[in-house]
Amino acid sequence: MMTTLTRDPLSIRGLTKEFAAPEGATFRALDGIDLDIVPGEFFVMLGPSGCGKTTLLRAIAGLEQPTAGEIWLGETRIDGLPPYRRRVNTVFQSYALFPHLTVRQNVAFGLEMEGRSPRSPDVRARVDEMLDLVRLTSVANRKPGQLSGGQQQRVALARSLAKQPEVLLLDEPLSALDLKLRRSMQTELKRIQVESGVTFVFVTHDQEEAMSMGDRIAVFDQGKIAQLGEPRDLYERPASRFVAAFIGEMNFVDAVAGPGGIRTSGGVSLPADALSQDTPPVGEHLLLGVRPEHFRVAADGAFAGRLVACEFLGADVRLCVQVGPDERVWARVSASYDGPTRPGSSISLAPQPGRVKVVPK
Amino acid sequence: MTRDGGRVRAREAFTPRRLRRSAWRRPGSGTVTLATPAVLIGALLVGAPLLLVIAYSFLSRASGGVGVDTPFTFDAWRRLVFEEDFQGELVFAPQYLQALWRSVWMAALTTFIAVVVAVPTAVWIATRTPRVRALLLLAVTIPFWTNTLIRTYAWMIMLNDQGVVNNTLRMLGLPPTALYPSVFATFIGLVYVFVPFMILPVYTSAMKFDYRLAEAAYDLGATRGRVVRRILLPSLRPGILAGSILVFIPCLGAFVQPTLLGGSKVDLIGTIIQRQFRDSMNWPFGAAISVALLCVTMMALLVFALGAKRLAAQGQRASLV
Repeated sequence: MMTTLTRDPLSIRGLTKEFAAPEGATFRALDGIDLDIVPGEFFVMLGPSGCGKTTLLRAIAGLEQPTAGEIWLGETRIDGLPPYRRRVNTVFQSYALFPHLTVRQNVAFGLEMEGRSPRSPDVRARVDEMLDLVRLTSVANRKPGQLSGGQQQRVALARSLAKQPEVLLLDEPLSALDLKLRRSMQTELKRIQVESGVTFVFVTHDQEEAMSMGDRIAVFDQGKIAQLGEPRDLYERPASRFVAAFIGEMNFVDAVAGPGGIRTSGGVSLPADALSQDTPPVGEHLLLGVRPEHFRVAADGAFAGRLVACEFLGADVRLCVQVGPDERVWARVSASYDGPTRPGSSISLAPQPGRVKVVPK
Repeated sequence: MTRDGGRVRAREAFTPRRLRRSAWRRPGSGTVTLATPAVLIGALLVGAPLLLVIAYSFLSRASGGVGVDTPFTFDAWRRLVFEEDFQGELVFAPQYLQALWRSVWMAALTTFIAVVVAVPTAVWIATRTPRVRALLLLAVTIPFWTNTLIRTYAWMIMLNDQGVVNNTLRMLGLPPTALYPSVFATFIGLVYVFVPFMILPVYTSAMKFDYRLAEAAYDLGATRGRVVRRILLPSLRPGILAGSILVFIPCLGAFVQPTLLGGSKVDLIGTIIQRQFRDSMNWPFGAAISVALLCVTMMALLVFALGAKRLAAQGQRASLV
């Protein structure tokens, strides 16, 4: 039985963290982060390594002391509290399971630290419930060293959830697993999150993982939030070149708005209806972004050139086309594609109307 | 394959890289002959002296005192437990058994104090930067550069009535204390000499400790004390066990520190053995006590081995390196 509590939102205000770098300089890992995490949501922090996402997670957990800013959990300011006084728990990237304790003892550890006896009926019941939730009842008396990676991952999850945290922080928990196991654990994590109703804050550098699991995603870049939104938002309306490149694939083309329409630097003239927005004022330099799946092969397509590569991927086919001296675009068409496949053949691609985005620089 | 090719391959087989990969590296794959040097050294330097000591314990005192003589007798062993009273009858005399027990107890206490001193020291060293770590490890091993006897004399000088300790007490206006010779001084000497043997293996364990486990424990609500007790100490058990063997066993037979720092006040099994060979000139009896000590040592090793086995069952390996 899951106890439902009225959960508190997690609010982060102006959080900054600086590390002393060698040569006396400081490195700013977090640069004034403002963030509100809604109770019960699956929140993903996404970014390349070194972007500050893990530092933020550790600051929320209390394992890192921020240089400036505040962290609030409901009505309590928690940034000054030691880790053991925060109603927040972490699933570590390395799992950090205690090797000398059994699975059951590992899961009971947090409850024991609250001063409850591991033999008391309510602790036993809670541990059983957690083991059941992560489906590990059968290995309860084994040591972590005797478990597979996926099982260890689930022990770590059960151990943190046993404490009934307000917020569960997950630091790249799936990065040590192979691709197949990863997929099934993603589904599993999502199920556990929905069943437990706990707010999950999930850190990852894998955009596909972020898209598949997150209710909302914050994309981090150099200690700042580059964009915050739902997966579809980020994909369809990226706020910057960084986000556009990081989420999914995107072809970038430099262009100038001329009197007769838009011309790319490679000399391609785009039809007026290609842009997803109104034509910008004449003379403006633009960065255009086109997703590969928004191209189709057409006899009179604007992006005409020579085929560089044709890759069959099963579900679809990737085509690389050289349209100008320094301009190359990738297209993704359905597997039933029957056009030219030999490199050097001439081919032309047409962007779907209204799918060419002007990417904010 | 040509003959030339064969020769090239034979030469390649002995490059270090090949050798490392060769079948010899697999446990249990070498021939018995390869063990000859080890067996010879063992037989000559361990087996033979041991047999000699056991044989001595069943012989009689030589007339001049040095060495042993026939006939074959159980006298030395009898003397370990009984003595002749004035009527010439054998009565139970526990003095040597008591000395043996005292030695065990003293070695155990020394080991315990060594653990208490070594664990924080080792953890502290293990958490420094690599440069500082190297310096600190050097500091731990520097005492080995000087002879134990000389270092023990140094303690005699420091602890005597005119030594630094008492002079400091006098300067502070406190009454000087008779620190030497005493049981206390013996403990200081023993702990001082053996504590590096505890620090080094515990340090090895502390280096292997994954400090992310401590973070996880904090995160789950453990206070500092609980992290140390429930997570750190259990991870150091292999090192503590290995260190305990290295401290307890030599402590059991120690005679330099009890003789020099304990004076006549501390009669341990080591000092008794030494006396039998030098002052009392009773080699058979000295040999008998030595064998008795050896039995106690073996029992201690057995206890440690059982401990190591239990740790291994928990996936932790205790070894001396």
